[in-house]
Amino acid sequence: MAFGFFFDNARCTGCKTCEMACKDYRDLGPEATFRRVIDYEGGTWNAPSGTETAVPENVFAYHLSLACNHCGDPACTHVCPTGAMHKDDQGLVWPDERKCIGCGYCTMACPYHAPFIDQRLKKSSKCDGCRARLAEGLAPVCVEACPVRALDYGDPAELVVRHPGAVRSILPLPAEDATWPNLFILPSPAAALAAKAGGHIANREEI
Amino acid sequence: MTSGFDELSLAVFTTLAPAGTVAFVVLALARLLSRDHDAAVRIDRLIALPFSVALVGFIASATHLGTPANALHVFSGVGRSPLSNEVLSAVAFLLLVGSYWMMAFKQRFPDAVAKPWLVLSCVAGVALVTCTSLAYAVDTVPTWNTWYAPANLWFSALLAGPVLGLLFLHMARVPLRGGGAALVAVSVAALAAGTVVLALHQQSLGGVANNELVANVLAPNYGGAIAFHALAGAIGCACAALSLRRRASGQTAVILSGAAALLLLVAVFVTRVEFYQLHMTVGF
Repeated sequence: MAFGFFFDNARCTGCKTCEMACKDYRDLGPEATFRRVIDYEGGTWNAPSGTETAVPENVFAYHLSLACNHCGDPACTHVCPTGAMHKDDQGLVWPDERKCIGCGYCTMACPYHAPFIDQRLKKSSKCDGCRARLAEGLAPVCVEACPVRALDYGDPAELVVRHPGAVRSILPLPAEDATWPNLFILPSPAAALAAKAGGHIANREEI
Repeated sequence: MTSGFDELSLAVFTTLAPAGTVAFVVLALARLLSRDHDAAVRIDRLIALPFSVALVGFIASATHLGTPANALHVFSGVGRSPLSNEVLSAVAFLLLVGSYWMMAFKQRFPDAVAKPWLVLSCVAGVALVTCTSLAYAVDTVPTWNTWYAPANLWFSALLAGPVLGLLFLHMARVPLRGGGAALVAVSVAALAAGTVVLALHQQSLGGVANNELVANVLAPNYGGAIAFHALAGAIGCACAALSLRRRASGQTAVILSGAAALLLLVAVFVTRVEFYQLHMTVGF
């Protein structure tokens, strides 16, 4: 079985409710996060001269809510020396804390920066797709919390049917063939602009 | 975000363990070729030194683990995880060399037992350096997943290791004949080749980028580190060569080759720190 997230890049307002709901549910401090919202910006405009005002030309900004993508070919599980970081039979990728040695190899390999070393546990920690909630028939807490319903979850085969036009990478994410993420994104027009002109992460300090 | 990837402890590990391993191979070769029983016994005793150098490196690498108590699970990843392969080869090497050193204290320790043991230990040593050099072959880390990474590690091992071995041979008062010159020659060749590979790696960084950065911004001092490596390496090799002069007394030879080994280890360490600073992924 596989598990994935859907993210509507056109709907997301960057409010970070998903991130906060996750922090609250998983009791994470300010130093840790399982889900992060990236602000991605780019483009240029004409500088105002005299009485003119600035004329936006190709300026864009969008938000990308990102947790673990429970990848089809996870970089973290390949490198984990103990097998602690594993994909379970629900398709969820998470570290078994009975085996994790906290070496940080998974944090080094993941191009989405999903795992991190929890300084309290001294072990790797990350989004597990809210497997405890899933077992109770509930949605992951981030999906449930999103006020604009920009997040969805489920079997990837069903997600692509429910959300036609979804892609698996927009900037600044790596190409999908790096790890085959189970992340399905409905790209915004801004993301199409970014793909042409490039941009940059505007809130690196936050993520 | 806390990576848990402690650069300094890993730089210490990848400096000391490969150098100690190669130094052990040097002593083992000297022991295998020695016809003088007393010299062979002195070498056997001093095998504790390269063993300790490798062990200190291994312990340094373990300090970056958050939960070492779970470490035995590492063996479950052998064959899949490069880190598991590295740990297995390190444990095999340390077990073989440590047990050899202790067994060599037996009053009757025939060559028929000692020699195959040493050869097997050397094979484990080569496996250790190889596995360490391949531990950074991770598809999603473009700055490490190149042929430069294993080449750099091997040339580092062959730069510091032979001179460290030479120091221990001087300490064991083993007649060197042409062996000393051969060891210095290996180090000089590794310095030349290693410097070229480091420079090629640095040159390649301009062409390595993810969606947010170009790799050469990660290690702005890489050029300076390579230059230091070449300079300290050249002085180290010169000291090692001076220790071979006929006029040099035993003590002078030990001091000169000790200084040489220290310089070469520092030269290697500086480039290892830069290597870890080059970490980036194909993402952002």
